[in-house]
Amino acid sequence: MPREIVTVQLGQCGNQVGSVFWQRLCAEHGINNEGILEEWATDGGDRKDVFFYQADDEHYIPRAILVDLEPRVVNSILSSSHAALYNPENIFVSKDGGGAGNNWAMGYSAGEKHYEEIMEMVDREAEGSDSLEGFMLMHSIAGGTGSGLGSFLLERLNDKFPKKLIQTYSVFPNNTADVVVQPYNSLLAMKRLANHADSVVVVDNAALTRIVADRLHGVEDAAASFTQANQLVATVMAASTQTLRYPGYMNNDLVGIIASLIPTPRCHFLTTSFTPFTSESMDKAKSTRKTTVLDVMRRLLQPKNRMVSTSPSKTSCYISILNIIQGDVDPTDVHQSLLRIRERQMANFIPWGPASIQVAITRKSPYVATSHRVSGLMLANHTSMASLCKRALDQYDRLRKRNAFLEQYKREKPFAGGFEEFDDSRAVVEELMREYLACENADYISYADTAEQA
Amino acid sequence: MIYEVLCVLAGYESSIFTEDSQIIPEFLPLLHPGEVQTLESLAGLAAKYRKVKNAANHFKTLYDEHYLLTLGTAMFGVLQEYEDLIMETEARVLKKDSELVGAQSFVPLSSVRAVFSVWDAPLAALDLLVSDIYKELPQWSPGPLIDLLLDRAQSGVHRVAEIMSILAVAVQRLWRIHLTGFLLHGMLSKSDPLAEPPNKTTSTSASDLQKDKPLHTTKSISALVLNNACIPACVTPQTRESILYVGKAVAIVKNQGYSQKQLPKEMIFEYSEAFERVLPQDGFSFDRVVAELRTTISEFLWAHVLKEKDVEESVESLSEYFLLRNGEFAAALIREIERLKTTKLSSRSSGIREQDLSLALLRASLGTTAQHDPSLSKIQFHLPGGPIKPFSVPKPGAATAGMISEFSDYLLGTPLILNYALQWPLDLFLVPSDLQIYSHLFAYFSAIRRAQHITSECWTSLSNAQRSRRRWTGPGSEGGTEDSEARARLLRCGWGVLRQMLWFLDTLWGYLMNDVVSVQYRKFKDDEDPPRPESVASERTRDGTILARSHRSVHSVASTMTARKLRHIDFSTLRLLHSTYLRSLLTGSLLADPTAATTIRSILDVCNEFVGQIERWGGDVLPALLSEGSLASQDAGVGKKVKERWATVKEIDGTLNELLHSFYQHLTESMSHGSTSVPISADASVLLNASTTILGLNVFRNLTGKSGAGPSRGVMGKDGDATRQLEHLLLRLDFNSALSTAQLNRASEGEDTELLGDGET
Repeated sequence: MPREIVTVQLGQCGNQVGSVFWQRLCAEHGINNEGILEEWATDGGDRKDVFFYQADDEHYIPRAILVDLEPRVVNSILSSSHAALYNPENIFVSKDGGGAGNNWAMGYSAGEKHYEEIMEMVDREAEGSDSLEGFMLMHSIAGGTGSGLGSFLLERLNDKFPKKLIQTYSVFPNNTADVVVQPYNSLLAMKRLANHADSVVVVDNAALTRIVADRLHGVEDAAASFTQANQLVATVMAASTQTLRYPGYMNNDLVGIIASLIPTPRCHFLTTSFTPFTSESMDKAKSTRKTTVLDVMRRLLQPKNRMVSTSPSKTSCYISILNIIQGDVDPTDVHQSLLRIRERQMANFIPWGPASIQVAITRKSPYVATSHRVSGLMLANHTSMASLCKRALDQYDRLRKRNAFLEQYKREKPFAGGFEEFDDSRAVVEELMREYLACENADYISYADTAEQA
Repeated sequence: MIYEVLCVLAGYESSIFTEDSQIIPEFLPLLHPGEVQTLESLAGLAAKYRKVKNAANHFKTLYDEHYLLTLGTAMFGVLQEYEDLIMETEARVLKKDSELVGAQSFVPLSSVRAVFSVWDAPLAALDLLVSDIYKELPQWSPGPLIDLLLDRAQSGVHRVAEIMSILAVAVQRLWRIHLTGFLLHGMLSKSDPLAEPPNKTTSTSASDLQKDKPLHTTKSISALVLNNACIPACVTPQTRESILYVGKAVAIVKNQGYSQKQLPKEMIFEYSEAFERVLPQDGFSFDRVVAELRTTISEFLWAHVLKEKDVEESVESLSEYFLLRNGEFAAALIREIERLKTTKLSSRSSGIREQDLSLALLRASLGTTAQHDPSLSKIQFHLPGGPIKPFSVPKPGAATAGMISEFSDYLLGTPLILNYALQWPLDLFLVPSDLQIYSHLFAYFSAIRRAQHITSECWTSLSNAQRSRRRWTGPGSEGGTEDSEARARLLRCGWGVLRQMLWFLDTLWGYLMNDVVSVQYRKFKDDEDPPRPESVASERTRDGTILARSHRSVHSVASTMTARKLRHIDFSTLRLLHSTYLRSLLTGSLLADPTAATTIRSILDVCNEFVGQIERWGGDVLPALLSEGSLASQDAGVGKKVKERWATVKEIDGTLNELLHSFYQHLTESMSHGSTSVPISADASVLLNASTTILGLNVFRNLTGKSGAGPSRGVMGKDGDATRQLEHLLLRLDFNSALSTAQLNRASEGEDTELLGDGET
């Protein structure tokens, strides 16, 4: 029996990414844009019911909940080719339609206001599944809705579904902030990500922009660049759930994927790399020449393919790595690749215990033609995530020192009694950073000084 | 007098001679010593004749001993010539033939002696034969009888050799009838059958039952073994093996009745005729006919009964369910069994029976690819220890006797065996010992998979507990209490233990599935059905378009037809390939290495223990802040519970690390001891032997003897393969050199310089 996953897409970014993600899933499962299975898509050996359920009229309907506080993006989804795919009952757009004004506090308050309506959708989806494994949230943490409403929802999901996994695909902001209060929003959201999610797949806008510029053909306008960035994220999401949807001999449930990636409390922020990006998954992709297993596994370890811009220090290391390799793979190649990677010391691991690259081999969708034989996704837990925390803290501190833009937060309920919430969030993020840095030490886990404790 | 002599010669008693063919003393004075001697020698001849004749008569009454009866009849035929000679002699005497009757008035005894002297040697030989046969009565199997006759036929005396051959041929003809009955019609005679059910010696009653209806079920047929006593020594071992193979196959085909295509009549006629022309004594030509028949039958089976597709499908479904290649089904099955344990083993429920497990299989298949797989119905769970009752403690060792793997009780708590219902015609290809290996592998793989499942579940509960705790506790600690540092450390260590377990299980599982099962499965497939250029090309043309079919169906439908035309894979080669495949799986998976297997089992037990501990702690390493003993009662310091749990975690960590290191050390040692060092446990070697001997050792030897031939490569390169596979596991285990460094440290601590050298490898 497959274990279902309910997705919740929040805000502008979340909905844009989500819409591309669902288009991709439809393509990979041979489902047309109205949710009907194509005639030729009968023998894929795939599990559609992890992400879709089948309505009485044979339609495949995504277990997706679309939430936004302003109607623009949702409307564009509803006027797109895949408009008929979604369950209209699962779309929530705030009636006043004003959005959250890039303010975390507004988003959070809006969440409280619309709690009943949104939770009703979540409940309905949860009850509609036989054995729900967990939730996947898609959002950005820079703005108002994804960040604020997302934070609120994380807290509530945590209360309401204490035994279900909560995974988020969180888009972290650029260094150069488009939104001035982005450091505030990010920090507040990061606290919730650290405390209330089981696993966070970090996608960094800066890295996305860099990859779009590097790996894909020149982009003329910002809109096209956004589209490509969204495609990148959707590709990563699809690939990270490939073993659930095209089950092989391992990693057939979400916990199987994330459990060994996240071995330390709170350090559940995962980085990703994907290769190759080709024109099938991306518009205007540069062609990639070689795709042997070794090439793919080697490229996955290159920083330039990583979808998070971190600044690793000398002691930075991997806590864990899972490579999901898709395609027609000769199992003996895996060993050869591991051997080469180890010989050339391409991946540094934690010094306090045995660790290795885990490799899951999975089938490709037979319905999506690709020009390359093998593609790969790396999910990794890397201590350089500390630098991302550091960046968030620094940016926050700079703003906070001058008490800039605090007025608009003060107006909302969470900050009515003061800015303790900010301090609290800062402490959580700092603690997270320290935990990641601690992972770089050989004595991270130490049984030596028990006497002293006692 | 002459009349009297002829009567004596014809077997009648006479008053002239004593019992022991001596002339009675009263006559002696009347006779010349020469006459006495002649008469006595004639009487001796007559006595031998009488004895042989009586024996022949006796044999003819032995209705149950077909072969002796035939021999008796043949002896009658031979003796007929002798009797004819008597009649002829008598006629010549009466006609006063000048050659016999001197001067038309008297018959010299010497002439009579001369006439009958041709029978001296033959009757002597027959007499000896009869005595020898009587010595062993009543147990005369056709094999030794034919051997005896053929041996006597080697005589240098032409006449004796001729007579013995006649007898031998007669007996062999009967044997041939039985043989053709078995080989062409699948029938066995009730007495002296060529093949019989095994363990006849151990349970006579059972075999008697089966003897009446020996060929009633496919199962009993496939269990038949050759009755070597019924086969002459001149039949070579290869031919014997062929006889059994062909006989079984034909019997099974017949047994299936009209549901199966039967052997063509022309073929049966053709081979009946061919057999008419040969006898076992002919050696080569007999072997040739049997060998030809075997090839023909194999072709027939391969073409009409056991299709390549059947074999492919069975190997595939065995790998899906027994080797857990169908991961989602395996995961679902383990979840179902875990659910069964919680629901059925509570105080009010009935316990777990085999039916419950069958239901679990079905439930697990829902929504997976196994749901519509017909071969799922062939697999079934068996509880060798009987149903499990709630709160019953499994008796250790009681049910584990015999061929039960040490991993079989990990899934359910008591030994559990997964069986595969072998059906015709697959049992031509698979034998019970193969399936036993599959069962062992299932027990092993499912144990690891279950450990993976429970540790992931444990991780979920830890992560969930972390989430809910963090909802209320602030940053900087796990509660902001004074013992926060101790709590943070306990949390890290608890997670750390789980991390090592998850890491080890993932690593081992990745190795088993990728480096062992996938590699060996692929190799088996390639050997069985080597990739052909045209199919590759056809797949390539599909690349640009939408692949409407899965890889598997393209492979099986389009290419098996061409495969058969291009290359014919011999049946026994296929069998050999399959046992090589199983052998590689056993050695590669370390199941054949008792030390490694025991260590893995201990690690799995530690996982179980830790998961249970966390469960008892309420799903979290840290004690809840307000629970009793969680906080230090008065002064600042670490709570009692925190200390207790710390000690427990530390202990489990210690055990786990010890096991991991000894596992790693064992592997490195068996690597450095050279390629052949992987010891095979007694248990596994029994399995291996069973699977290879059934193949027929000759076939095995023949194939392994050829160098460079496809299948032999796998067998010959066995040890090298095992070492190479170990390297794969070692690479994964020691990817960041943590284990080897730790080993080095340990070695240097112990100031053991020798070990230091080893550790560096």
